[in-house]
Amino acid sequence: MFAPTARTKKHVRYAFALACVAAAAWWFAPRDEHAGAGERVQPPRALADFQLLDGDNQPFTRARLQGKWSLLFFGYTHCPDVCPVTLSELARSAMLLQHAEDAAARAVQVVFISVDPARDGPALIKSFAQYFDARFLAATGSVEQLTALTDSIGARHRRLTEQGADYRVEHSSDVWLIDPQAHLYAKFPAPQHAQELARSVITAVHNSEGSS
Amino acid sequence: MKRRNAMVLVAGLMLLHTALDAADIAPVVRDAWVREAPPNAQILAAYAQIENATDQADAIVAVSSDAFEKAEIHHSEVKDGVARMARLKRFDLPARQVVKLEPGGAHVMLFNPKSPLHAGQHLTLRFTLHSGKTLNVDADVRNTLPPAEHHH
Repeated sequence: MFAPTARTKKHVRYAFALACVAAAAWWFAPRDEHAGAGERVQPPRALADFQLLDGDNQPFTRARLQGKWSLLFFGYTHCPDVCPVTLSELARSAMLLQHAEDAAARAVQVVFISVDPARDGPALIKSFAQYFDARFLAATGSVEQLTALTDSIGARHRRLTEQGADYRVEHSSDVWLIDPQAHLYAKFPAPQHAQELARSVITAVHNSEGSS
Repeated sequence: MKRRNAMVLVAGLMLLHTALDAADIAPVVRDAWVREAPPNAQILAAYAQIENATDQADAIVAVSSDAFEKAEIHHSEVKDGVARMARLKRFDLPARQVVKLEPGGAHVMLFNPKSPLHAGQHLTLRFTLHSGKTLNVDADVRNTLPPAEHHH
């Protein structure tokens, strides 16, 4: 009833070859966890200079991003849900990075930048950031100074026009990875995961060391 | 006589039914907790799971706590990479459903703690429902940070 003719044999071989290609494609395709590994900025884009103040009232400029890798997050202290969730993940990833083989990965600095300068003074942002990790830096500036930086990065922030002291601020929920030349290297959309952040930093450090 | 007994029995059952209804007619709040916040933080968030096992839809229309100046329900949303919060005038509790106040979603926003709160402390949240009922809920303060490690 079913004698394998030359034609069906050819079809079988063809199907087998196709299956092999599909299997290889699946095997070499980026894994799912790669999806959370952030979006590369290619080529890395230089940040414009900016003028902020850190939690000790010292200038925090583009120069502070040079010579080491940095993870930046924009938020504000009157943000009880999204901001602590992100900063907790950053604290977790900073802890994981402490165990990285590469010294440059261990030296990554995390910077919390408040986009609510009317309520967030230097002392407040410093204690806020350091609650999550004693090594975290904090910075803020006038709305114009902040916008100079967020525009350069492609981030956004906007104070909502509301009466009273309980106004809200909209802000980018992404975490940004800046390379030691102060170039924007990658963006990690929310929700971030500590292990993926840490893994991406290690990969970024490794790749750029290999290429330099 | 028999007929009267039957009537008493029916009336008794009706009363019992009403009493049982009253006992479990209110939604139940479970696993309520407050996220420990950095020192000096003026706004904290609380989360919980609410089961409305009744046949009546209800809603949370107000929240308060003696430990805070005021409380509201807010909803966090991340859209096009931007985080926003919107105040909810009511948080629906559909009949026979479990709903959650959870990180990254709807949560209780607690304004201006009267004293600093640390992990392990307990406080009471008072939920006022659309039906007029009040639920007093014990919430514990939790630290969501990674366990401390020695930094070098």
